[in-house]
Amino acid sequence: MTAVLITGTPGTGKTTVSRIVAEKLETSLLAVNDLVDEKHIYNEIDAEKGYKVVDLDTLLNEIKIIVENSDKDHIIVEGHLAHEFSSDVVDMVIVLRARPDILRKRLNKRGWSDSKVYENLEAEALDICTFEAVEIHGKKVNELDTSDINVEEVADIVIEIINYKKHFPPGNLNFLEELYGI
Amino acid sequence: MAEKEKWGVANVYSSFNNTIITVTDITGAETITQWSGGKVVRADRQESSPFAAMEAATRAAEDVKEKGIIGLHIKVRAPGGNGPRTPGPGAQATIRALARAGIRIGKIEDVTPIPHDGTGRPGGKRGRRV
Ligand SMILES: Nc1ncnc2c1ncn2[C@@H]1O[C@H](COP(=O)(O)OP(=O)(O)O)[C@@H](O)[C@H]1O
Ligand SMILES: [Mg+2]
Repeated sequence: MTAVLITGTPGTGKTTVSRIVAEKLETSLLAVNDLVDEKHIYNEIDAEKGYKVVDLDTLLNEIKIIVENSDKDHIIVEGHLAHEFSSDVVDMVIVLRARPDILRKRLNKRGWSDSKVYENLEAEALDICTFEAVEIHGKKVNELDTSDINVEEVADIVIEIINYKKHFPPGNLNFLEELYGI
Repeated sequence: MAEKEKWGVANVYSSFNNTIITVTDITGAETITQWSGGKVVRADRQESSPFAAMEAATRAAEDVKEKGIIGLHIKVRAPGGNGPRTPGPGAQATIRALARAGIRIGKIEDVTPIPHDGTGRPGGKRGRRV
C-alpha cells in the first residue's frame, strides 16, 4: 500500500484534479474534508471564520485506518490538511499552487466573506502548505504551479509525478509581491 | 517630558522565496514605507536569503526614522523557519535588523494566516511564535 498526498490552499484544484487522477490510475481516493464531515472530526466551529476546527489527532488516526484498510494498492489523499498525514507508506506529497489573482476569482465564486477569501490568498502567497509539507515530508514534496494550465493538464502532470517521471522541488514560486503590491 | 513618541506598525511577510516589510502608521491607515527582499538584491536566488531581509529592513528603518518614528510594533506572517516553532529566517532577520538600526521593538504579534474552507486547523495551537 502506498499513498500520495495532494494538498494546497483551498481553490487550487485538489478535489477536481484528484478525482481525474484517481479515475485514470484506478486508485482509491480519500477526500479529507468529506471524512471530517462524515465522522464529525471537529470539536467546534470557528464562528468568526466559519469553519469546522478539525481535531487533528483523531483525523490523522482515521486517515491511517482508511489507508491501511484500502482494498486497492494505491490511495490518493486530498485536502489542505492531507500533508499532515505522516507515514512510511506516503510515496510523495504534491502541493498544488495557483497565483493569488487566479485563486481570488475561484474563491469569490464560493460566496465566502472577503476576509475569508483574503486569508486564503495570504496563505497561498506565503507558501503555507508548502512550508508545512516540507517540514513534515522533506524531499518527498513536489510543488506544482497550476496557474496557466487546465485541470486535465494538471492531472497529467500529477500522474507523471506519481510515476516518478517528473519531480518539482518546492521553493521556486514567488507570489508574495503580487499579493502585497510591491 | 519630551513630545509624545511616535510609533508605527511593521508588517513582516516571509515566504519561501522572499520577505516583505510594510510599515504603516499606528492605525494602519497610512503606509510609510515598503521594501522587499526582491527590491534590494539583484539575483532572484538571493531574495529569500536572510541577507536580503536584513537589507530590506535596514532601508525601511531609514525611512521610518526620517519620519520621526522611534519604535515599531511588529505583525509577523511567516509560516516556516528552522523548526516548528520559529517563523521564516527572513522574519527573524528582519526584526533583528530593525533593532540593530536603532528602532525600538514593541509588541510582536504572529498573525500567520490559516488555510481554511469548510474545515481548518485549530488557530494559534501550532506554536507559531516569534
Ligand atoms: N487548473 C485549473 N484551471 C482552471 N480551473 C481550475 C483549475 N483547477 C481547479 N479549477 C477550478 O477551480 C475550482 C476549485 O477547484 P477545487 O478542485 O474545488 O479546489 P480545492 O479542492 O483545491 O479547493 C473548481 O471550479 C475547479 O473546476
Ligand atoms: Mg476540495
